Amino acid sequence: MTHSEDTNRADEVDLRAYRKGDLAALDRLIERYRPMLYAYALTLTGTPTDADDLFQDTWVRVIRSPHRFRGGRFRNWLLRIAHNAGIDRIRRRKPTSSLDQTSENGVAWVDSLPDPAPDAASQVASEDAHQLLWRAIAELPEAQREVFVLRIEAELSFKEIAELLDVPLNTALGRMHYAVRRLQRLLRKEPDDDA
Amino acid sequence: MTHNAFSVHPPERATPPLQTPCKPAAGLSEAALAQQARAAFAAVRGPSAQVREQLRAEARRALRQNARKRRNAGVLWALGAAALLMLLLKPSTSTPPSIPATPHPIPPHRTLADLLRLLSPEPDTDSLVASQPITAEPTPDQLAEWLLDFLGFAEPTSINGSTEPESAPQARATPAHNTPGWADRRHG
Repeated sequence: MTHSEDTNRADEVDLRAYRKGDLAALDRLIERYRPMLYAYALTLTGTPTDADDLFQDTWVRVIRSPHRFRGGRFRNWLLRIAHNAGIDRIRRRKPTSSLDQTSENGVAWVDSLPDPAPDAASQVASEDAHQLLWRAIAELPEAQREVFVLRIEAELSFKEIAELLDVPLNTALGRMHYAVRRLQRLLRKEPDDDA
Repeated sequence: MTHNAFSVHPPERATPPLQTPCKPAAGLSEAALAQQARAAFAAVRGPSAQVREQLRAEARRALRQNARKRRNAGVLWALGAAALLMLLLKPSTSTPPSIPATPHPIPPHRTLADLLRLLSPEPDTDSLVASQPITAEPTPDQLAEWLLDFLGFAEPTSINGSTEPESAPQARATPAHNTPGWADRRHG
C-alpha cells in the first residue's frame, strides 16, 4: 500500500468521524489497513490465531482511545500500537517457527492463503512459493522479521522504522540488510553464516 | 520475477558464486525478493470474519460508553453546582468557634446581596438587589430558581424582577493621583 498525503488526510477525517459516532468511518479505516496490519501481525506472531488476536488487540486500543492520536501519520501510530501489543504477546509466548503448525482452532497455516483460482495449477505453484517465502520469513530472527515486514509491506522509511522500534537508524538498516541476505540464502537452501 | 526464483533446487553452476557480504546472491535480487514478499503478504487472508464482527461490536460499545460518560459528566456537574450553591446559601446553625475579639466576617443572617458582594471582585455599592435577610431555609422553588439562574438557564431578569439592565454603578471617588490634572500638577 502506497502511503500518500491523501491517505493520511482520509485517515484523519475517518478517525474524527468515528469519534463523533460514525461506525462506517471506522470500518473504512480497518479495511484500509487490514492487509498491512494483518501481515505485520502474522509476521510478528507466526500463527493465524495469534495474528487474529494481535489484530484485534490493536484495533480495540484504537477504538477505545482514538483521542490519543496526536496527529502525524495514522499508519505509524497504528503500527506502534501493534508493535507494543505484539511485544507483550511475544514475550509471553515465543513465536513458532513452523508455519505448518495448526492453530488452536485446528486451522492450518495454509488455510489462511486464498482459495484456489480457476487456474488451479498456477495457483498451487503460487501458493507453494508463498509458503516457501513465509517459511523463510518465519526463520528470521524476530527483530529482522519485524523490520522486513515494516519495510516491505508497510512501506515505512528506515527513519520511521527506527522511530517506531526506538532503535538507531543504523540498527534498522542493518537488520534489513541481514534479513534480506538471510532470506536469499534460505530460499536457495544455502548454509546460513549470518546467524 | 518468476516462480523459479523460489525453486528449492537452484540452477547448477559450473563454479559456485562468491559469497561477498554485501552483494545479493545471484538469481534473487533484493527487488525480486521484495516483490515476492509483497505478493506473499497480499495473498494472506485477513483476519477472520468473527474478528471483524467483534471489532464492530466493540466500537458500538465504546461509542455508547462515551455518550453515557458525557451525559454523566453533565449531570454530575449540575449536581455539584447545586450542592455547592446550597452549601453557600445555607445559614449557619452552629455557633462559630469562640473568638470573641474578632467579629465574624459573614454575619449568620446573610443576604443574597451580601453573598453577591462577596463573590464579586469589587463590592457593588449600588446593587439593586433587595437586601432582605434570609431568615429561613430556602424553599425548593427558590433553590430551583437559583440553580437555573446559576447554570444560565433562567430569564435574564434581575432579582427584583426588572428586565431593564442594571444602571451602571456611579463612579466612585477617583484617587487623587488619577485625576486629570494630577500629573500636570506634579510635573508643572
